[in-house]
Amino acid sequence: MLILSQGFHAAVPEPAKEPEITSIYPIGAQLGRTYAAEIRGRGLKLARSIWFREAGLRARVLKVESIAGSNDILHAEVTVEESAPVGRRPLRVVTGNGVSNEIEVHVFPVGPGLWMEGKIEKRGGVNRYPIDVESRQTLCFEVTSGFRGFDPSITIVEKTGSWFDPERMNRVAFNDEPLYFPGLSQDARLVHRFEKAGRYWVQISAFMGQGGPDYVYNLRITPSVAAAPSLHPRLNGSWEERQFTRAMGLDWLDRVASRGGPEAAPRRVETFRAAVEGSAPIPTMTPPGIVEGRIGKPGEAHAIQFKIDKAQDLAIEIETPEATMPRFNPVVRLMEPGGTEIVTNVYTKLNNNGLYMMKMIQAKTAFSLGAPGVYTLQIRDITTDRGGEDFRYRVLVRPQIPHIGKMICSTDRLNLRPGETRTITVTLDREEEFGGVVALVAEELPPGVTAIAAMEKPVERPPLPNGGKLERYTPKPQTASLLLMASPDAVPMKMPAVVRLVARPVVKGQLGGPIRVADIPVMVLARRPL
Amino acid sequence: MKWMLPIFLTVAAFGADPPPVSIRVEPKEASLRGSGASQQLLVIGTYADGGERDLTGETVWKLSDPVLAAMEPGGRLVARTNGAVIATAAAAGRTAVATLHIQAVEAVREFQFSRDIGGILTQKGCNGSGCHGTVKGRGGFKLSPGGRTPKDDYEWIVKGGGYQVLTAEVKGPRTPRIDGKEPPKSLILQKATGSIAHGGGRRFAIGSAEYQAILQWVAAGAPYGPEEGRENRVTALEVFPRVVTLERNQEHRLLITARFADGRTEDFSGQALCAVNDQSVATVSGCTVKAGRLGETSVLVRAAGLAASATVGVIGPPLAAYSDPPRSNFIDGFVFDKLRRLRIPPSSLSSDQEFLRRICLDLTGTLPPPERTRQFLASDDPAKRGNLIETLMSTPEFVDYWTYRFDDLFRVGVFPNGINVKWSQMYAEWVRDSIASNKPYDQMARERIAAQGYDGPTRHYLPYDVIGPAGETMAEEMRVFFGRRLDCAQCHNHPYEAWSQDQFWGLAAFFGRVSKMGDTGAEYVVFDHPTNEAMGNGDVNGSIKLFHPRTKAELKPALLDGTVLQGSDRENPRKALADWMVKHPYFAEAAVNRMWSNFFGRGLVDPVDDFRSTNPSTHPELLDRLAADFREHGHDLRHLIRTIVSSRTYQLTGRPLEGNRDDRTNYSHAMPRALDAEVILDAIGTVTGVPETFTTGVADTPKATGQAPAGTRAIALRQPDLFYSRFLDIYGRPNRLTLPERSGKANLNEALHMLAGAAYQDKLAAPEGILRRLWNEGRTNDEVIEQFYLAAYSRFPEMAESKAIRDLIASNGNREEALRDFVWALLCSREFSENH
Repeated sequence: MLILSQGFHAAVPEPAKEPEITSIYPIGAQLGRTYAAEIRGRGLKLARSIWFREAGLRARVLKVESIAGSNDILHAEVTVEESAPVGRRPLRVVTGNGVSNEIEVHVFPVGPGLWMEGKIEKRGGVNRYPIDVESRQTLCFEVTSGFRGFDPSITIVEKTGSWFDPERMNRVAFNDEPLYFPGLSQDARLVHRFEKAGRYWVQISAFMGQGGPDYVYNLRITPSVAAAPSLHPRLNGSWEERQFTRAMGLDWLDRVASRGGPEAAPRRVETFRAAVEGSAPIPTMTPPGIVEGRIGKPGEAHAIQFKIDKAQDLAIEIETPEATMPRFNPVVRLMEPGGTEIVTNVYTKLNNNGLYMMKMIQAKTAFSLGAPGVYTLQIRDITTDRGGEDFRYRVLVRPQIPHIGKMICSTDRLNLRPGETRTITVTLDREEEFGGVVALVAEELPPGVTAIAAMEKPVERPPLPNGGKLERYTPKPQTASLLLMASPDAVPMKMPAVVRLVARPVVKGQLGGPIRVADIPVMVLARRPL
Repeated sequence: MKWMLPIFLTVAAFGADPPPVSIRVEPKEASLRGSGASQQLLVIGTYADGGERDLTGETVWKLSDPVLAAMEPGGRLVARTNGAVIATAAAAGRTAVATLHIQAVEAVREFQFSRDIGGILTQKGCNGSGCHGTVKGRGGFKLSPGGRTPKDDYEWIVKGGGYQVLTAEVKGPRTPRIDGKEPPKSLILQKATGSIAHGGGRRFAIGSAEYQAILQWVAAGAPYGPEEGRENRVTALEVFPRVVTLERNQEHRLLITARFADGRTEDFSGQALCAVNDQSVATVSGCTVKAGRLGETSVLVRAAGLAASATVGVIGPPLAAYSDPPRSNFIDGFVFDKLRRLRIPPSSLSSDQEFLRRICLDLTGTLPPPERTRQFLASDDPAKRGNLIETLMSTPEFVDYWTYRFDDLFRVGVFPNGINVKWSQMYAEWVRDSIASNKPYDQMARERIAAQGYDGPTRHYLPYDVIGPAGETMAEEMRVFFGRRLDCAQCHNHPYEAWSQDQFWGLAAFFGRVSKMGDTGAEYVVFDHPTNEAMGNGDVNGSIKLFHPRTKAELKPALLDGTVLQGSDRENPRKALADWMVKHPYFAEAAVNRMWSNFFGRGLVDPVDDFRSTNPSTHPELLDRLAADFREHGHDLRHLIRTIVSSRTYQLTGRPLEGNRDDRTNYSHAMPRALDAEVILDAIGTVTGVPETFTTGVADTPKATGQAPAGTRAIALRQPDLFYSRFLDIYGRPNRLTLPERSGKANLNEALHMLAGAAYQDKLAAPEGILRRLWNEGRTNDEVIEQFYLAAYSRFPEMAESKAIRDLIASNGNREEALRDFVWALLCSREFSENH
């Protein structure tokens, strides 16, 4: 963590506002560059410093402009060191009224191509960049948005005119994003092969024609096809076990077990291959085991069997390491010896009025097999028209391991005035009937700040009447709270301290290892608003 | 068979007219099979002017071997012995022959309920849609319309009982319509003969042939006869001629032929019910049509549960000098031939200015720029029209415009496509790519009908975020790609058409397994749920099965002919449906008819998605030929467009002649068509030089968060339902929640908008507008007048027009205001707001 500060203080007191930032322009830079940036937001007038959580990035506040009726503009100088990690890096602004929310600054690798920073200043705005290309040249255009509400689009046009208008710019190619799907980036990306040489223009606009000072972006044009666009959703939490794109390595069971308290023992996992249905005898696997395969052709279904000798609580987990939803939508069905489906990863419920079935494929299904026997696992795509080289799957069949799943913290920062108490709420998932106690601890509290466990009113949610077998597909959530209190004589801080929230499972009186929940910047402010 | 080829028949003036140049017998050759088989023969005379008339009534017949057959009065030949007989017709001093092959006269045709009893009920109108063939029947007695479902009819007659729409359960006590112990006391006979009270009156007399046939059937134990098979199932009815032209009071027989599943044909002229739509134009007796007043109507023919139609035109006296216009392609042949038969003169070729404006608007939705108009009008290149067509079809405006047209047809919009702008965008891009790449129309149809996954065309299966009901989805696909409205058959057999409820639900079942996978509403993947794989259905006691609403039977996907889809339950059934649909004759004829309507303001069948036997094509042979040409050219939309607009028919002037002024359906002259809302708004922007600004909410309000890029045309709005425009709403922009139907009719709001609307007033006053620019350049009044005439009308002003406008400007003390008034008047004129 690197904290940089500069002694900048406003002369005129501002109303008490926690700082809120919305965008930074330019949105980032390549490694090894220092550039002037504008950070827009509210309550920035008392900005002291710009705070990066990770090494390799530095910034200093130059000045703050306050514009009546509009956001403040913080002018800063940002340095991206050669050693900075590439990608989206969090940035906050620290003011006399606390630490701001987090936005991202983009660290781009050094490489060939053109880089342009832009802003769609007004509604309906279109920014246009001329480019000269060679015949049969392939270019990759990428637009990275620097504002949460900005969904950029790319259009390549050429001035070939038309019979009606010799000046008309005609569309050559268009792309909004590689694929629009929840969890996927809305940044635009377009790869185009130009058949003929000449001048073209790249147009950037907002998807629905929005615009404004926060509509900032970076356009990168590279002379060859860059890495294939990631069509995987960004994994938000530090622990994800219900996403198709999580990596279930050979240590997956160890990792799961490590969240279940001292008694959860890891197991060895073997890898198996299923057979294409109808083409070969159905092979057999032994749980815990991972079935690996690929739906190579449309309509193809794979099958594999396993035998259990007694009733068991099992979990099926599915990973799609390459193509994933919505291109590859893996359906896994488990059939009992008679061929009847007894469980599937397709969670089915009825809509509110009970008229429609609603189906969602799930990356994990927990269930009980009540009788010994040979069970058949069937794996296929939900459509019958899709298949391909990248339709790879990994299906893990394993005994259930009660453990703590995903944990989400309600706040991303805490600004406390002396004598003030604020609540941090953590929602945690009890996976596979985890029944132990969870200890929640705040570590590295700054001087004068204490944490006290608190109880929240339990969430009472009656089972949905049309909810189907929800318990197979969702963990049991639980909410816990910590109260953070600044003592009346706590000393105001110039910079935030990072408080680490940690959960520890307790099973049968044994305390399990610490599991990180979140790192939260905490700052004690002056007694009175500045 | 050759005699079934489409032929126009016209009756030449009779009496003092010269004799025909030739006569012929229809059919020229036929096979008669079985005991008592007969064939109606027609004798057609062809006259020097190309007209034809029915000479059967005045024909003297001679048979090559009278032992083989007998000729009845009126031209019906009855078989006696196996062999080939040549029938020689002598009429109007000329002769013609037909050859009839008589086979298996010893074979007595087996009784068949549908034909022998159902045929009587059809011919006597008992099972008509105005009588017992209505949805619920009449007087407690239900029959299928036209005897379409003989099994049901048999049950109702033999067992009785009341019909219910929502269930197959019989309502009330069952009272048979026959009396096996005392056949003459059968209700079906007593009612039909009027022996007891009957709301439908007397349908036939006691002792008549129909009476005897039914009486004998009852006495014989009321058998049903053999089940329908290839050898006895009628699959089509054909009428000859399909178009009849008659002078007043003249008559023409219709020849009705049934085509069986095994390919055999049989004369059904004596078993069909013929009815005329407009009895003031023509009447019908049996299947002989008699002309009334001048006009055009259709004759509906019903038999064997099927329907067909013919068009009857009653024409005036011959025109003294009928000039045959040159023909550019096959379209003109069909159109001008019919006009000639109808004795309607075609107007002359359109002027260059007329053609230029029309073709630009029709191909691109865009007015030609003044400088292009000047160039075109000045050119003396004889190929300039053809060249312009090719040029326009290669413009980006062509892609914009036809994307917009198909966006309309395919209902691209946010609200019809699942309330998700991104979905709408995906769908819109698919349409645009299809048009830009000139994707074959059958491929577009396949991609849309069989769409699975998360691609653009799948989005149309998600209206309002949910999978649409199978019946509604199917009905829309049928309207879009088959031009048929099957909706009525959802609840009951179609009362007027040959669409049964079983057919409806058989087709609907192709869409019965369409499902969506997803949770939040933004990620729905479309797939076909196998019926025999639970995939969690058991968790909610759900089922993917579709059931017939009346019979409650589980539905299997079945084509119109009843063929049930075979194959794996896990396959996409819509692929098979799409494959069948694009090869079906309905597909191409619906497509060409829809495209035709874009250029003429009406379809050959109109409305374009209402093909039915009671709404026949005005030019059936042209429709067939266009469809065949479309198929032969790989369902190439651009080829079809080129063919249509290259025809002289399309390029006729809109100025009518005295003899064709009333013609609305035969394309004797171009008919003015109101411009679509989007096109006229773009045109106003073009003429004034002030394009419209489109925002995602009312402009200058907080809701207006987005805005289309400057210069975006109304036809290019990707999500039109998100972009607010009072003008477009007033002028009839459809919301695409249902298949758009643009009326093109003017309304009061339009008039008010012309007076005070921003689209007119603000643009005329805008400082960046063309009028202001010309003003600033110091242009003379004549220059300004000419510029705006060229921009708005694609022509130069006539001298009288120029003078009137100059006088108007001179009389107004404020020249700028007067010029604004002049341009406003141009924009408000019909000449501007219509394509003509």
